[in-house]
Amino acid sequence: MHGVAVSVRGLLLTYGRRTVLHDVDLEVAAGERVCLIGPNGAGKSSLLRCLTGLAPTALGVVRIDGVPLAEMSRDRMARSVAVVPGQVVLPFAMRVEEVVALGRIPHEHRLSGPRLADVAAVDAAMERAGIGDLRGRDARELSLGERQLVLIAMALAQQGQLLILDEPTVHLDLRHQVEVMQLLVDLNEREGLTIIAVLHDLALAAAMFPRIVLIAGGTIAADGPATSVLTQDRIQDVYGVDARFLPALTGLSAGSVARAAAVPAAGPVPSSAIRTGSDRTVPGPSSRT
Amino acid sequence: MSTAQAPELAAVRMGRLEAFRRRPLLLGVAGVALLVVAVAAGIVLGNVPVPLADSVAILAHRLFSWPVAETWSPAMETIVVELRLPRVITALIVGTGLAVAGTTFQGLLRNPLADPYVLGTASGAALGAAIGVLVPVQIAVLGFGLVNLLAFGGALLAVAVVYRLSGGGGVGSMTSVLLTGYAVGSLLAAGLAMAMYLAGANIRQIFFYLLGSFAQSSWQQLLVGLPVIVIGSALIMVRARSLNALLLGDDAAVHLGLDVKRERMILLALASLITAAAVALAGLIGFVGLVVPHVVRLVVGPNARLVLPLSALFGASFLVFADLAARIPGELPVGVITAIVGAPVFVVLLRRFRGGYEV
Repeated sequence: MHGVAVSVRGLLLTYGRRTVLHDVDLEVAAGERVCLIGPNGAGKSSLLRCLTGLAPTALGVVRIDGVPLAEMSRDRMARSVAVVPGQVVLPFAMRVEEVVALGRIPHEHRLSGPRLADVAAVDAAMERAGIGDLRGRDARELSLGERQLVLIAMALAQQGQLLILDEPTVHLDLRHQVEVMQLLVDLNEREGLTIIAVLHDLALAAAMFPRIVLIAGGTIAADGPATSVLTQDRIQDVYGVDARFLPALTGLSAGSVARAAAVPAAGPVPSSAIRTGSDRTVPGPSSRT
Repeated sequence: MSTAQAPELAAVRMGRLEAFRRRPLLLGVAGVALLVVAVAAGIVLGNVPVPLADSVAILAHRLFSWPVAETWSPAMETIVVELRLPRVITALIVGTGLAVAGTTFQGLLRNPLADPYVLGTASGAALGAAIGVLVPVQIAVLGFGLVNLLAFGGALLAVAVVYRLSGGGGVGSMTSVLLTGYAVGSLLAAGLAMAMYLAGANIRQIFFYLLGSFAQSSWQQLLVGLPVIVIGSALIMVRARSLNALLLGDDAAVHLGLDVKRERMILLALASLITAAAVALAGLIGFVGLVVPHVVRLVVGPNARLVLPLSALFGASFLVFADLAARIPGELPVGVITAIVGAPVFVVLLRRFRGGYEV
């Protein structure tokens, strides 16, 4: 369980003449649970794209399990890093188990297709994500919360040791947000999966992740536990908003968020505090990164 | 996960794996049966009916040199061996090719409305054929006249132009490929309209080509056409995994280990080559490449490992029957038949199977 899952050194990413990321150094140990936060356009998603091989970096080295991405075969990469897809539009009607089975593609033989072990892995992934009863449903007719669990199950079927998610709770209601988060925490703590997720909800991030990496202006502005990263001054600085809600926010423990989520009206924390960190507090026209 | 419950679970899984495979298997068996009936009907039926026994005897005699007593007229033999058999085989492989190419284009473009002609192939071929009609030159290469050759070239050229103009199909740019295909297609259609205007009395010949026909099928044409379509289709089927990976989009495909740009270029090239060959053999025949893959998907789901071979099977039989329906009343254009049959069947199936994935 020891070792470095992800290491980024001196990363520079440019799109044309625009610098998206610069001087990024990041190390994530195997078994860690890390949340990337930051304003829209700060470079969170771009960093994920660099980690998963979608964006060719101009400078710097990204290593997964100690191997530089450039030297890693596509199949090996797909077997060690599982990425939960973001917005997905299915072109054809597809049953849930067929979607989850797509996660087996890196393991399956090119010609002979899925074997018994693949069927077993698909089963296990669906059980783990708690969607065994959705097996035969048309994936296009699911609720957003169910759909997110299906996509996570697909990534689990991939059986990588590193799980990467970009805004897994976006558009979800409170119950599903907590459901997804608790699944991630559980996967991390029990199965030892390394998890890197981008979140916009600062309260959720603070409550569920022991390590928070704040990205601003294309580089890492702060890195550490929520209490040290999410200070009033820094929030004011990075997000440009009055951060009076922060004492309530950083004082939250995981338990109190879960309680507040289960009974939003009766919890000790006003539910407004949980929403405050979401997209709508960011001023100005915001384009999702 | 634990091994203690493994045997029992394995049995359950085995059972489901079988259940999973039963529907495709049933469809496959039905498809093969239909194919046999189609081929038999295609050889036996026509203006001069040749009894089944005679047809079988003729084929056994001519193809395998079996010593059978010759109870048939030489005319019958010519009809079966030189006219009907090549015609049936051409319909088979054109149907196979269009269905496989349609499945591929729908998967690559992630668009259920895509068909083999979507990237300008149809208009390129049509313009090529029209020019072939207008130019007063008679050449023939391997049984293909100028019209067929220019149609083949026009189809490939159109796809190549679309591919280049849309930026080589980088990751995430399939919409621009589709739109470029539409733009180039419109331009070529204008050229076609001009050619038809100039064609005068020859316009009938152009129309004949635009609506498709197997009337000119010959062994000589099959010599080139068959290997191109069969090998091309086989190479696509080997890449079924790539089409599956693309179901969730380009990014997800990369995350599943696919070299998206390379695989897409290969699949696009193969599907275009197959389409161009099909067009050169029989002109433009619509609806096969659009409807057949969807009908198959309604039964077995979108897994390309199943959809590709099953579509090939049903596309083949469908075109043989369509050709039969076209030639018995006296050489109607086969594209008209496929549209008349294909469109209503498609609508009915869509309505019936809308909830087909609910268990």
